[in-house]
Amino acid sequence: MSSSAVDALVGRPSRWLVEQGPAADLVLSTRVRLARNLRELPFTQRAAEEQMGAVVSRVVSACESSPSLAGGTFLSMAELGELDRQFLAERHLISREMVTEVRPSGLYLAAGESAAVMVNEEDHLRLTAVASGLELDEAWKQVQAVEEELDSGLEFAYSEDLGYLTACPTNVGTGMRVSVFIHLPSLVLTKKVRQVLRGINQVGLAVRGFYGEGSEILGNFFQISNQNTLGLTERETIDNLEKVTRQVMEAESRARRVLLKEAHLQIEDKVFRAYGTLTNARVMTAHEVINLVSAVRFGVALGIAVEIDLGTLNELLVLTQPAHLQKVAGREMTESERNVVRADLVRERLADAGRRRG
Amino acid sequence: MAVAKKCQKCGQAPAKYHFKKWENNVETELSLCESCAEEKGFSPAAGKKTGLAETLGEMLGGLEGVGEGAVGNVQCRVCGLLYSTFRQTGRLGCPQCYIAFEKQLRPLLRRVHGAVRHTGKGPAADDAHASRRQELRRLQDDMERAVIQEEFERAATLRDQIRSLKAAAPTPAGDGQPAPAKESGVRAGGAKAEGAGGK
Repeated sequence: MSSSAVDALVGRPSRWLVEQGPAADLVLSTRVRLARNLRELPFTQRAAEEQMGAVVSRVVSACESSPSLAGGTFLSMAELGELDRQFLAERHLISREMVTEVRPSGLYLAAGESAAVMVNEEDHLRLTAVASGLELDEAWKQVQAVEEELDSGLEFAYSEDLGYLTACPTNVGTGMRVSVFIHLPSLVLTKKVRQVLRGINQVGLAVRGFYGEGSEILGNFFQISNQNTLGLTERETIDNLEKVTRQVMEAESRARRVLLKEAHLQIEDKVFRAYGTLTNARVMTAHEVINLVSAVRFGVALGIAVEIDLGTLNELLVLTQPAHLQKVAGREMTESERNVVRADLVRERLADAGRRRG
Repeated sequence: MAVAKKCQKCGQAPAKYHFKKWENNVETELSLCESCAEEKGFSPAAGKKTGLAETLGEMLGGLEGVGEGAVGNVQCRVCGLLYSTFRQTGRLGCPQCYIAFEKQLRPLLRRVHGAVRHTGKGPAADDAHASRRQELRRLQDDMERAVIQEEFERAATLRDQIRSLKAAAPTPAGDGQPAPAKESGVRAGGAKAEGAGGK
């Protein structure tokens, strides 16, 4: 049953990838996450199996009566194969830890994937909402609605002094992690990125790679998020991140202007070579696709004539991941098989996008 | 395969970071030591340095030797977690651990968050007490300041005010005792073994 719910997601793109919110040329998505725990039970990693089961059933029943999650589905991790779990992680719906950890846990997913609740991750509940582009208020509004609805049916661990109590003290307080997924090719090319990222660290924000904490930085895509959860209100946290993100965007735009002025031909060459490879290659690794998509995306943002839209490019970042390719094909494949299928998919998608535009 | 590669830039320090680059469909690999990577501007360290869990580990390590020697033996009565275990894993066992390890966590929270007090929203049931909470906070801050400035009489007055304000209202959510981890459960070993071992 659960697996068919996963199958229903295959071939259907996440809305935040395709839609184009504010500043979509630089910011792919905005995400707000809230960590919550049930008051009378030990945190996930110290809970007995039946206690974890109790968390699952209470949270699921609260989710079922939440209007914001209406039409949603619960995916029990225990009932999913590793490929399905990997698929959900590639879509940024569950953490990488949930792919490998076997315990009573799951994901309550709202229709359209705009909001989700991870159950028994490190904390009992991890509520998330995602919006396309730089849309902090929108994402916050969504996750807050879900949180308030769940609050009426569940008792969260909370203390007046420390706020919401979480398994890791780095999340205690608001339990809030706000992040933007941002593309910074000009800052990387002009070697300014290090300086900018250092500045971000100094104001209490963190920078991470493509797949969150501890992940590699690929294709000039970065995640900027808040670190502090104690002593700041939710509003202050959001405003800080928005302010810094806008400064980073401004730095990227400045670097972009410099590049266009001083290295226009070289940039154009890089963009078209990447496009040429994507539209012609017969064998491609996932990393290669991310790097090439990054280059073409840069070209689109610069207005260099490439017959392609940002939505198609964003989608390729997820669709070409290993588990997605295998789910679409409906079978498991070796890495070398995947590299061929991946190149086929990229060529098809880009040809379709070109036809739509032409 | 070479195991301990040397940095390709300075040729001296062992390489710590390995970069892959695609250009004209040719893959090149670059291995750099930490300082050369930093210098080159690929600085995974920039983001990593403040990677939360890692930093927390470092901070906890850094706290060793501070305070009483037996700090690691402090134990949460509800879930049985030892402070020393928390120091290794960076994860607390239950909501009540925040009370059990309050003394140890305070400096840690200050270093991580730059603050030790929540100012954000609370559960709906709790927000009814919001104004009382603000008042309490103001009094507590005043009291701390008074102690620092050695105005002990004023501090004592403030303490009494705090006491009476706390007594006047029902206890807020979050003070409830969580059920202890099941002895027979998967992770039950923890409480007992640690208690006995006392490492």
